[in-house]
Amino acid sequence: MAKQTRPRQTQGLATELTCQQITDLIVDYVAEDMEPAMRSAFEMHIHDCPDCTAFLNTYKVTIRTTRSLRDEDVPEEMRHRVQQFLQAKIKGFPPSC
Amino acid sequence: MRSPQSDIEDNQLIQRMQAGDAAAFETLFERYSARVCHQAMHLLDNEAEAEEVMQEVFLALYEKAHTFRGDAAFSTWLYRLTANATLNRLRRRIKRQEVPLDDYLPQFQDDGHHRVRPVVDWSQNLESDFAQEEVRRLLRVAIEGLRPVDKLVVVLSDLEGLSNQEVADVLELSVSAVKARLHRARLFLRGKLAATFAPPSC
Repeated sequence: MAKQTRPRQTQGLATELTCQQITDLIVDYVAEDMEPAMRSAFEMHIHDCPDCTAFLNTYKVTIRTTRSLRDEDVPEEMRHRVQQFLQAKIKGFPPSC
Repeated sequence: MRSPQSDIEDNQLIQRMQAGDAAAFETLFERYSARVCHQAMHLLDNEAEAEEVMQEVFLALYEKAHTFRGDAAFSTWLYRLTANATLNRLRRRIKRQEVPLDDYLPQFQDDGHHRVRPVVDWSQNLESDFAQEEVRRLLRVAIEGLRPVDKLVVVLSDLEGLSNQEVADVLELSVSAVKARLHRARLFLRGKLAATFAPPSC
């Protein structure tokens, strides 16, 4: 990737951003961690740039789908075996009912 | 997700453990075993190894409870134990499983425009159940190809839902380092999906 400097967030000034800078800033934008002036400049660029609109949409769907992996089942038998392992190793675990 | 109340409860349980209360250890096991298991499974993608990590982490919790000072949240400490246990295993794996990130990162011209244009919006192509399942499969494979620390950042951030600060505390990195690694890893994952859903320009 050709390196461009990250734009400084300047209060109250319109900042013209390049597509590369937009790509660098996307992580802050989706985290809603951006100063208002920079956010305004970011959204202005997105509004006018179909490439960056497409990039933002595909970046967001990548995160959303990655997060959906979170809901996959974990084997309950595994937890039970670990509990048995700990029972053998630790005196008094689990405590008697 | 952590709350101040759950932090207080965890600290009380640890103090009881330190005083020899086995029931407190049982409660912590019930409270955190699924989370440790999830984290290990997402990182290792191998049930046998994930089970070993769970054994190692909870045995370490039992043996090292007396060293917990409360400087960090208990959950952070437990995540760190799990991260270290999985990192050791990941680093022992054969290096050829790692894929160079740069091959899938976006490229730019000197004027800052995307090198490959137009950028295709394939986000709408994932509507069907088949596409969703294929995307999840591709992502699992892609995450498996990340370097160990990058994989940890993605799992802790996007799968376990930790904040950048929490991930930084677990991995003993700066917040800016966590953000940079997370962003590059996400760009890589996006690039891997684009290679399937929008070839050749992505």
